[in-house]
Amino acid sequence: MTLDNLQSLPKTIGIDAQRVVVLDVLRNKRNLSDYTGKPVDHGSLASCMSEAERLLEDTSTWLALHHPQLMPL
Amino acid sequence: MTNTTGARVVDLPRKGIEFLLPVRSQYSYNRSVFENGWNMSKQFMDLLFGGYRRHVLGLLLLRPDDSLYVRQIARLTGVPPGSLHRELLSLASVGILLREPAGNQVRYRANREHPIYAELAEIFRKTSGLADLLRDALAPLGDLITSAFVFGSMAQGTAVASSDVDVCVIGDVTLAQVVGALTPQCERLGRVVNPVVMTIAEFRSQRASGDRFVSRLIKEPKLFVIGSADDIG
Repeated sequence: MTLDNLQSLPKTIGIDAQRVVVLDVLRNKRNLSDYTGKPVDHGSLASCMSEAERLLEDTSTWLALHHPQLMPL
Repeated sequence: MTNTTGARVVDLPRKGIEFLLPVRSQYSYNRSVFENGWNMSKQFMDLLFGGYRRHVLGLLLLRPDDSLYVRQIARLTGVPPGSLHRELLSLASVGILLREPAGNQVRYRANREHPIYAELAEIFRKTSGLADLLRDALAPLGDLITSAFVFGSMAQGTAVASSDVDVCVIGDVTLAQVVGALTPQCERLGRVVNPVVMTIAEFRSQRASGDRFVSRLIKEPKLFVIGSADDIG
């Protein structure tokens, strides 16, 4: 099995595997909406935004800790 | 429209000459068949299809596009190999399953061409094949859930091999909790589960405001797994 960026997150920045499953579900919703044009419900959209913000935060924290030279000024 | 038990029956529209053909979407959907108890459909299916047969048919009828090795079927159903071989051979001998030798192994798949394939698949979709599976998976969240139902192509009977199982869960649960409960079932279903989660208050306010997603949800056929249409009324 190949690992893409999302699936490899537990191995790279060490986030909980269960969160990746949720991110995968959200990515699938994005794809479904793209390909079928069906509307997305408010709850999924809200989850998508909060999960993305959380992931960005965790990634920044990890970067600052392990590779501070890569942090934006 | 109501039937003799007072339950509302929704007739799906028939178009053109489709009603002359064994079209899967042509059925009456009775919303209250299994609302009287969580185990009612299990008892009912035990009565009709003893033990192993129910598991085997539940698996194969739900994913008719997959041809599975006996070993895979054994793992996914938990039926011991000896009994499984006998069960599969009997079902293939009456034509509801197709037996496909592949090298020194054998694969089985549901036979879509069988005269009662559509009806039998429908029975399993409403019972142990899909509804019971989802109900069992959601059981740990039981008290927090007001209502849960399948919508989209799996509820309409128009699903193809790549179709997701769209499940709407209404209650005080998070998307992460529902994903955690349902994802382990994906392998057995042979499909990706696409859960939608909202509270009953969110459901009601979005229905009142004519939200596109919720309006569509209300119009579409639903296969109730927990609760009934009354719970979201």
